[in-house]
Amino acid sequence: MNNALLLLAFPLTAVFLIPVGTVFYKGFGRFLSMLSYLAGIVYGIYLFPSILAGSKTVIVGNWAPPFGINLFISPFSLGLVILIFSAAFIIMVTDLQNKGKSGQYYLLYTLFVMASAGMVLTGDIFNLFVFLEIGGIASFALIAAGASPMGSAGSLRYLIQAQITSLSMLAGIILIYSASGVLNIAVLAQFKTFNPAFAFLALALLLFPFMLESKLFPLHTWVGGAYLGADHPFAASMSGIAATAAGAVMLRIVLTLANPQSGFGTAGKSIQTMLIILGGITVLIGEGAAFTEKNFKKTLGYSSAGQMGIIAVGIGLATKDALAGVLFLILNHTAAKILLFSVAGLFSKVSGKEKWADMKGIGRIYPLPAALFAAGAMALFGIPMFSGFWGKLYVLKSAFALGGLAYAGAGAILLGTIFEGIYFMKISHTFFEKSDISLERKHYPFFGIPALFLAAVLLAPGLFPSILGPWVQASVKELLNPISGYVHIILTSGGAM
Amino acid sequence: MRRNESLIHIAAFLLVIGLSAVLYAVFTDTRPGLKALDASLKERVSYHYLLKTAGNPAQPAERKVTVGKSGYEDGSANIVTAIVVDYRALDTLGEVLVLFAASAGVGLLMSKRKRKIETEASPIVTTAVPMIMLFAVVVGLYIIFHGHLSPGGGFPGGAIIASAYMIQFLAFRKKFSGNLFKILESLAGLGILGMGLAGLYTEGSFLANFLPTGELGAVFSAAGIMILYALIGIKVASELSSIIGHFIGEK
Amino acid sequence: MIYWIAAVGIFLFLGGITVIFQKSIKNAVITFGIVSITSSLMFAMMKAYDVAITEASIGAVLTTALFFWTIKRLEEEGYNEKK
Repeated sequence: MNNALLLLAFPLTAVFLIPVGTVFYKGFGRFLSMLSYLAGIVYGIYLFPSILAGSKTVIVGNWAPPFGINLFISPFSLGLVILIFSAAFIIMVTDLQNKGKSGQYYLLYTLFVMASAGMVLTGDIFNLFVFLEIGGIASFALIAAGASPMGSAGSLRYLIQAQITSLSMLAGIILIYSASGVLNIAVLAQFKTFNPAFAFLALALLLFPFMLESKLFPLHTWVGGAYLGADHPFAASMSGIAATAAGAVMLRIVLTLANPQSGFGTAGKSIQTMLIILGGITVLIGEGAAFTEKNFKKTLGYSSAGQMGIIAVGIGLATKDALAGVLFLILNHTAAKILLFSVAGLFSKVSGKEKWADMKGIGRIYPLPAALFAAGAMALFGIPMFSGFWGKLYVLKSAFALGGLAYAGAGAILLGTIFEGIYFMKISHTFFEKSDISLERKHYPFFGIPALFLAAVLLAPGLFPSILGPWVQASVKELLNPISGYVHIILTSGGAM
Repeated sequence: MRRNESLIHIAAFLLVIGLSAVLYAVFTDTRPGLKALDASLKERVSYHYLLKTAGNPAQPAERKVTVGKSGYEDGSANIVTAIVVDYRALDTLGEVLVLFAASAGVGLLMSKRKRKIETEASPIVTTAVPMIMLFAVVVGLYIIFHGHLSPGGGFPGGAIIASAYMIQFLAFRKKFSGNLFKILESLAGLGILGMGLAGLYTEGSFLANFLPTGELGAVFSAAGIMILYALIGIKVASELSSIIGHFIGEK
Repeated sequence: MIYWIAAVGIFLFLGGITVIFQKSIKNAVITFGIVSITSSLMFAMMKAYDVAITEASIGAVLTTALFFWTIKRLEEEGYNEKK
């Protein structure tokens, strides 16, 4: 089963081959990186049926946990890795600004994708930190490489905040290691009791960088500058890929590492309460900021913060329904945000404008992209028939069932959704308004097909939620029963301590 | 922008308040349970790294690791190297990638420009620099190739060789082409990946040792560590040299 | 030995504060190089020789040089410290 490490080896091969290849042929980087994502998708889908029957662990270097590093391939992690690779592939295909991008851009982008996939797969908290650093360094360069002159400023702001939070994660790792002597998530998940206050501090420090990636309050302040600076494809990847990986890691840390039977005990519960509160505030602040924002990319960035807030509330609730909702929302958010950003990229390319208010009437010239934008917006809003509807419904259902603080979270989600509906309606309406805009209509064949595919991805689980049934059920079962699933599989596959 | 900045201040203020509250709680909490520094030496995974019993943790704890003997699970005399390149090799591959990303990012962002001021280095510098360079390169190579025996390894050795390149530039203004470094970086990276895949197909696990561990303390021992460190050394040296080249940034 | 470590630690702390409050960037970079080489000594005293070598080669030599190149480029682009 250790062959599953090839999931990370495909992009790595591309990363190392790109600098050699671009010396001889300039377009090599784009071609090879897309090929490596495709290889990852195909291999992931090939593995999927056997993983659905039973999760497996991958041991690196022949050292059994807790001594070596291990990856964990389960329906949950493998599904999200396939999602990440597919998102990267579609973003690359729909990238209309690819002229003049050097091989180094694709190298860094592939490293970013590889690091996100690694974060989802790994079973060791220090290895998690290493993947976070790879993804972080690649992100700083990619944001700064964006076409806008604001790129460097946004990148610098993101760099400072991300470095501080990743240092805090390192501090958390040091605290956990000095108290327990192990770094493996599976071993820590059934360790001796930690002091509750100490456990809360360590877990909070450990979660900071992932709260930053998923733009949770109060770590959301980088969103404006970074989204303004990055070009459209990378802005799409920041909300489609990085936020997905961060959500998966938060699920892993909160539900597996700090499960109720573990030594972290009540600290895990307090972290969940913290996530509900912060998630609720994030929904309000994110949707509110998106509501007042005029720049297209920033609007979409803040709306992504709002969506991640709902996901955080769902993680905090941690019931069977809420987790199913979180999985639906993660899928919906990734597909919808890529669709919206690619339409925004197309519109700003053909009109040369950055603000959505300046794009009046563009939908009359490009009816299909504007209609797809409306579809993506409806999916994020949660209109029935889209997968976002099921996600929000499940999260709200379990929030109302739990009561107490969860009511406040549910209220925040509902209020945020109203804001979200209003501004998305306003934007979609602006596209179809009558105006004297005159643009020559160009054809982009590589835009339409992937965008239609994304719309299908948004619609299919909404109309027939049972398509995702086996995956969602297996993932929720894995996340809610960490001892009999995760820990058992990892510690019995090789010698335990 | 102004509104955004005050938001950052508020966020930072809230974070500091929250963290200090939690820190206060940690220092005053007297409930039972593990706190920082509570892991005894024998509970830590590093205890088994020191005794080289990670593959079989149940072995008697009084075992001694002696130089000159063979048959250990990991033949490296330097325990830090054993952890970095053998027990936790995937993290090292990750660290190599962090540096790779940094070098590629510098290449992506730094532009080239024409040099404005041209000054010749003095004869004292041009006479002394070759000697220093020779010394630095020899030390760098020694550190790389004795990584499994004495302190150091691919990272510091590669950095020392890169600093030799830097001193050379200061004295003679000779610059190698960026493509040379790019190709060296890539080939070394592919070599590391190849070592990992070779482990996967011979021993069934990525980056596993597939060479004999040899006698502890001998020059040719510790399985693939010397090859891996040589590759890492090439990679680090060429990456840092290319970063230096980009910072100089002359045409 | 513990007193030596404490003395070097106090020196590091004071050096770090000096770096922050330097008026001129160049002085700050040089002071930072001194702090780096002292911390390398600190690592050596704590018997972490691997880290000491890395800190001496990267922290003290390479980063200082890169900082100076950056300042030089900024000056050529028109940045002036005195303003």
